[in-house]
Amino acid sequence: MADPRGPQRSWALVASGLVVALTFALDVTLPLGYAGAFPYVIAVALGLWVPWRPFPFVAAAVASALSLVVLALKPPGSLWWIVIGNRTITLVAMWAIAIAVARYLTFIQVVSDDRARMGAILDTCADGLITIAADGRIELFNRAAERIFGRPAADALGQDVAILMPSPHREAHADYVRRYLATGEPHVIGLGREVEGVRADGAPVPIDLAVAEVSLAGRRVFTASVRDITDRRRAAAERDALITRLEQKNAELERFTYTASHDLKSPLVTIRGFLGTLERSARDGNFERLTADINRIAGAADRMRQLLDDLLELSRIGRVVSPPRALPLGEVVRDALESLDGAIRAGGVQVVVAPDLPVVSGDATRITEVLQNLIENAVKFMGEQPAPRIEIGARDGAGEVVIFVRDNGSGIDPRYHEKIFGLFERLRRDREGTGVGLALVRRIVEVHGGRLWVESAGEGHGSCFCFTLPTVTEESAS
Amino acid sequence: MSDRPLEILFVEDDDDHAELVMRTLVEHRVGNKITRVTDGQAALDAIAARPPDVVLLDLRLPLVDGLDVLRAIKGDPALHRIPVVVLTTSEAESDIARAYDLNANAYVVKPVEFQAFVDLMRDLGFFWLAWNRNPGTRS
Repeated sequence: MADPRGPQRSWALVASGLVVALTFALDVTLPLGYAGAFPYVIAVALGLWVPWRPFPFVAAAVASALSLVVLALKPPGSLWWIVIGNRTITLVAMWAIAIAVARYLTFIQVVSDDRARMGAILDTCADGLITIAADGRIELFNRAAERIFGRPAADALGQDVAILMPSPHREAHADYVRRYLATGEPHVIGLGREVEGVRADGAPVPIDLAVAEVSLAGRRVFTASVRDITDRRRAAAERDALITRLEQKNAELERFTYTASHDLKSPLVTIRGFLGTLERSARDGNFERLTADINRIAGAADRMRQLLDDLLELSRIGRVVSPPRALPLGEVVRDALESLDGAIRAGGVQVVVAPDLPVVSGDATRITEVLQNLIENAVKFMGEQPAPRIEIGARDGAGEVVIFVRDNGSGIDPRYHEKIFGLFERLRRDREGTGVGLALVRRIVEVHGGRLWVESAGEGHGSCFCFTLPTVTEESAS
Repeated sequence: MSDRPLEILFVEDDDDHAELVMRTLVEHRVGNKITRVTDGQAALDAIAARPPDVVLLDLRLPLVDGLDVLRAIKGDPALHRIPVVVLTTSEAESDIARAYDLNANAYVVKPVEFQAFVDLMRDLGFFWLAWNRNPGTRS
């Protein structure tokens, strides 16, 4: 409904004045017996369109005065009772209309205030509000709805509400409505549910939708409240990812604690056990055994220290990594080989390094450590190979470099390809090493965002340890 | 009662622990033949070659680990009567539960109280001998 207070309503004031003037002229010219003053009622009634609430009473008062003026100008004569009755009925009608118009204007004012208030509420509401006629046409589309669906109200009003839905609901919507109107069986009406909406640009938007049915003067109207839950969805996804990561970390920590406590206890068993035999050896005068047992105790203590050092090193990796830099892989390999020069010579191992190694992104010290460990293992597990040989190279992957250390040594049974990376796992029962090396290597590679694995056809077929590192980006190169 | 010495298969990768346990067994004359192997695969090979009277089994072993050895013994109808004593540093409830789930006959945590350990080995030996001499008496 249009605003009754608009400036365009001044025509009513003019019309009302004209009517008063004409009526007065008519009343003066016509014999008094005619109901010449009666058109004044029209002038008062025009107050319906005048945006000033006292107007009807002012008009009625002016008209009453003019009516009495004419009566004073022209004495009524013998038919005075007709004239007086005539004027009285006119005045009563005028004032009755004035009261009615005044009430109407008050009522309009209240309605328009309410409407303004509701409009303000609708537009400041954070949720999208839409009303839809029974035939599916959009009748109301508030500002939040404009924002959520990315289209102005002007574009949405009068359109079928199905334009806000993605396929296949868009096509099925007419059927949902038909079925609901026929059977009362709702698809979303009266139920809140999370659905997908579609923006004007075709992008999907997750929404929380509640639809209610309202009966307006016998007409069925649907009101929909729409909440954009993109943020909620994203937060939930982030939360789930975090929980999963946390659970993984927790499980890892549990395994770590279990393994560490078990393996740290082992040297203690040795120390405790042999301490018990020392006294007897001393009593028996068996100094040979006494010395041997003391050596075992000392060995266990050393081993314990080694285990603790390795554990400390392992725990440091997760926390202490320098920001990644651009590393020419060739230099890193050279450093690693230099530090292992003695062992490589002693083993008579031929080392072949591919030319043109790429530049990778990482922490120089840590990546050197990775290569040292892998090369050292290759040298150590050469087996009976008469012509030991190690190849070091790289190949391009998707946004990463795969670096490999391949040997023709003793190889690893595919059953143990995963096990060897476990903490304190050793496939050979030599006393060298604590079984931390590969766990350490894996951790370093993972901290760099890479993967580590082994390829080997089995015993006697050599093995190839591969790991990935991110290729150098401009950011890390600078 | 004749105290027939036992043939024991001892699966242990740690030399020092092996030395301690072997000394105790020999000293108390439990078992006159102790075969020691250092990993799970070797243990399975040794059992296949000649089933021992008792298996003394560490859990954390290189290659095939102790629980896998236990599973293989107890899952084989020809071998499941061989008593298996798990001897390990692990006190983790999960390990104890898993070992007993796999029908381990005893679970002993190192460091052992040596006398208790020796008694246990003796009892298991008698149990085994009685069972295998008179299979019909099994209730």
